[in-house]
Amino acid sequence: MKAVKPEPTREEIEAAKKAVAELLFLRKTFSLYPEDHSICVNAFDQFQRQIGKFLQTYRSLRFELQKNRLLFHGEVIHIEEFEEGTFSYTLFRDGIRWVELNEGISSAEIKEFLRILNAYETLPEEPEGDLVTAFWEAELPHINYDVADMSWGAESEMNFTPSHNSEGVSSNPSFLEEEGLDIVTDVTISRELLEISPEEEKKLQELVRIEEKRDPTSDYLNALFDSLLEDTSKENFESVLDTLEEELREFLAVRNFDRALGILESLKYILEQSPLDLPWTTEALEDFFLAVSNPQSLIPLQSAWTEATPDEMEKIRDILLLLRPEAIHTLGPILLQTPSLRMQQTLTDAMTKMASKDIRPLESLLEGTSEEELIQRIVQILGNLEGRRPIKLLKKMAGHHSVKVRLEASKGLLKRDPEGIKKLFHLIDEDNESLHSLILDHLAAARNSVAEELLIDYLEKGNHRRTDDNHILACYRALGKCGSLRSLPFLRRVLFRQGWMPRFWKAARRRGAAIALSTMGTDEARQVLEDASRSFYPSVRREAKRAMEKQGN
Amino acid sequence: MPKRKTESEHLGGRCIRALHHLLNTVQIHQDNNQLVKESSAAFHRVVSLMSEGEDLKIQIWRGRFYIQGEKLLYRKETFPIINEMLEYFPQRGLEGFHFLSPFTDVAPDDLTTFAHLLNDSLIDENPPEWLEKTLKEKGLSWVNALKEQKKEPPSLVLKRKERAKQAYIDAVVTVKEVADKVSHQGAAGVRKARRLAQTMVDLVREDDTLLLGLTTIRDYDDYTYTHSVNVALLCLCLGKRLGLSHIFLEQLAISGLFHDLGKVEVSKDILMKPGTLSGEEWEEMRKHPLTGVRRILWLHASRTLKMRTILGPFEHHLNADLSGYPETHFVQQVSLFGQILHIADTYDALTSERGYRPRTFTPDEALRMMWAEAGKKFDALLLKSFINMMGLYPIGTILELDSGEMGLVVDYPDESERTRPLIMLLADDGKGGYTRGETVDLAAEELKKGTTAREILRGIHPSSLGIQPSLFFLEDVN
Repeated sequence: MKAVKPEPTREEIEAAKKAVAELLFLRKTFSLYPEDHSICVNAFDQFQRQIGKFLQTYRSLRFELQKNRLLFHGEVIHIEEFEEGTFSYTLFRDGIRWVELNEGISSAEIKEFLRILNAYETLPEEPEGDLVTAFWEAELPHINYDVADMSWGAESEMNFTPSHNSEGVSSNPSFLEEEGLDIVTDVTISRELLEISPEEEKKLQELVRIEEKRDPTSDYLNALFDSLLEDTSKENFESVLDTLEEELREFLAVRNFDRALGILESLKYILEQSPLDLPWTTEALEDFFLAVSNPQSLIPLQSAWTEATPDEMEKIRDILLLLRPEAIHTLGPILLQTPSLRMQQTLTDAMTKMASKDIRPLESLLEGTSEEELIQRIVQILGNLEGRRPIKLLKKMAGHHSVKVRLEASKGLLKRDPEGIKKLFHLIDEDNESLHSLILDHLAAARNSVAEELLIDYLEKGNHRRTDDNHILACYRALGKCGSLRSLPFLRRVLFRQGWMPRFWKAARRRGAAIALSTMGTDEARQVLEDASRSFYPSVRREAKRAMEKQGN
Repeated sequence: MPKRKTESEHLGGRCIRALHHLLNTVQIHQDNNQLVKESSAAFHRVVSLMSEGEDLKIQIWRGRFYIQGEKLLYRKETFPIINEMLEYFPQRGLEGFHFLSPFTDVAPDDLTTFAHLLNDSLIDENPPEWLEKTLKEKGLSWVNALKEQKKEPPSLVLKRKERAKQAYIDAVVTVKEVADKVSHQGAAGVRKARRLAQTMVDLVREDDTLLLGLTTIRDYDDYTYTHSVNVALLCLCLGKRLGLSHIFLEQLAISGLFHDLGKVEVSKDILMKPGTLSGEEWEEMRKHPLTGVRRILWLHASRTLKMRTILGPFEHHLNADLSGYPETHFVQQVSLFGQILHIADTYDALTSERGYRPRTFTPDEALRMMWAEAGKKFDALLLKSFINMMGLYPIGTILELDSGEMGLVVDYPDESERTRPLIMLLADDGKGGYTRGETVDLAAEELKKGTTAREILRGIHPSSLGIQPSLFFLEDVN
């Protein structure tokens, strides 16, 4: 659009040379330092002064590009190496023939120009974009450029010759099937119809405004889901699933849990709709769920959910519940590295649900790890699972060398099978207090003939490994809680017994029996204590009275 | 971001009106008259607004105003003024003016002087030269008068035509190339397609009439590819009318170019089959939107681009009421891209020769058939915009006139008059073909001559006369 300029003067050429030199220097500083660095700021000021002066006088600066040279009105004003990264090479490579800086150019435009130039210094791996596209998208109003057309030289392939065809409408009503239209010849389009009213204009503008603001992701994903429902081509189907797999990974990586959940729920629905005559659809969908249950997909979660909000946590839980049990292999290690207790609970719940569908991944994770904490977590999950296989595994783990594992296994076993205490009773001699308490607490949980029998037998035989007073007293207290009338003869005997037993032993047992009777709290037990309080022996009277006082309190 | 087209069109009309007003008021009143001052200020305001600190070029080419290289569209009420100005410039041997920046510094008195000089230039035998000399003498260096060219040089318009033709050819080649690569190598890059789409967007922003003319290109052998390019161009023209940004227009163009990518897998026997297709054959045809989705997924393109592009193949046979194919369960509403594509695709298909139907519809017939389905198969407002853009007799239609003449629709110069186009009369070349005749603006003729103006009898499909309208649009291009 510029008027043709006369040949430039020497002065103009020199000024152009200077301005271009400043531009090249500025570009270099921009690629080496941050924009706000003093070197960049100075270089920028220097360039602005130079270009400002030039444009004020000459209105525009256009330099042509050749492989390794910049020219101004045909005169070389800069030469550099023909290699990737140089100013001329970068522009020349993408087909730019000349660049023109015009009066009114703003600092923002210059910076954007240089930003693009530096971003495309090397040809990007991304196959769709290039420098020209970036300039085009940026629409820099005071920077013009000319690009060599990407011509294919295929003009001869085009046939511009018209073809004749016959008139007359087919009698076959389906001939417009592809367009889906009927032949309507009596419709008229009036002059009024051709006018767009201001209201309609407004509506259209609004339509465009909404469209340009709208995130196209939903449309895109919905189109993919619908194509899965409709497609009978295996190749198409698998292509779409591959894309959805990538999308899911991307959404998880950027913490867009809503979208990730949407994909999984939709595919679950599609899986349910899988036609029987196309069994490969089910297979492909199952494979999808298997693939997205692997570490590659789920590891990004590890960092994401340390900061997850309650709402996000809820979404993550729903996502995990839709995955295949094989995800347990990934989730187990993640569980150990998750500091949030709430998130740990979410993961444990999810793994429990997955394992309840198929215990094998959990079992193989258990077998494959030597990490005590992980084993403990797995055993914890096993404790919440139904079926024979979890019991078998829990029993095995109850003998694990780690106390924590044994504790979890015991808890699991006791929870699912109260009578399982028979098999675990030997743990009553455990030195570990948690394990010890677990057994005693379980025994003392309620009136229970099995527990009563086990305790009487244990206390009567006296061949236990632990002999400390606290242990003995705890056993008697437990007997008081689970025992019945059947325990009274034994307790009476221990309370009143005199003779050969060592004193310390006798004292603890006698006190234990008194405590058991007082804990039992029945009339019969109270009667035994009252009898004991009138005993000839002071030690018997003393223990009975103490127990009765405590009971009274 | 560029200003929306409607705004620049509005300013363009205002600019010509302001100049017209200034030229008239200086003839009637003294320079110190308030009206003169106001009209000079109004012209100053509008030129400053339009130039945005840059140069501004107003030109006439082939009976149309172009501002900054963009063709000026105008409303009916502006027509008499535009028409007057279209005569005023050539009377003085002028093609237009080049206002140099910064225009904001120009004094209002200088504008009054400029208007006087322009009016007075007729006193000389050679008005342009006189004007050039006098402008210089008066120190009005902010404006250059553009002399009318006796023989048109390779003007901007011609260059644009060359670019448009090349872009069309390149587009066909690109679609072919991408389809071929996806078929044989399983993937294809879209860098070329993007660059091409950008050129197409630039062209449509400069002159959509030219591109609408190109959409009349028909190539029976390469139907899928020319159809894809035509659909992309029609989409772009409609998208531009709607005011989509250049980024969205680029995506729309790519979506249009690749909307039928799935058809490459449909057997040629089916695509080219003369006569009705069997049920099985239709089933095969109906798969192409889904195959198209896969092909788009295989492109080496960014996620954003794929997201927008994929809607073309998937939705272009979906109706506004979600009937059509493929069946949808998740899609609740056809996207704007999908709706635009559906309209463009249907129009181009109806006006093209197809093997499975023995007749091609004339453009006006196609529009009427489509209008019968407004609100059902097509979004009524979008279709109305499309018809408004195309005009009752779309560019490339051959009209039979009551004068016995035949004319090719080449433009609708008046933005608000969409029933009486600008036509190029077709003259018998004596060899069974037709040559370019006089250009007649039927709307202007009706205003001038009233009932004696030529009347349109009917539209005729160009192919029935063996005419490829695009040849006339590109006639001066080598």
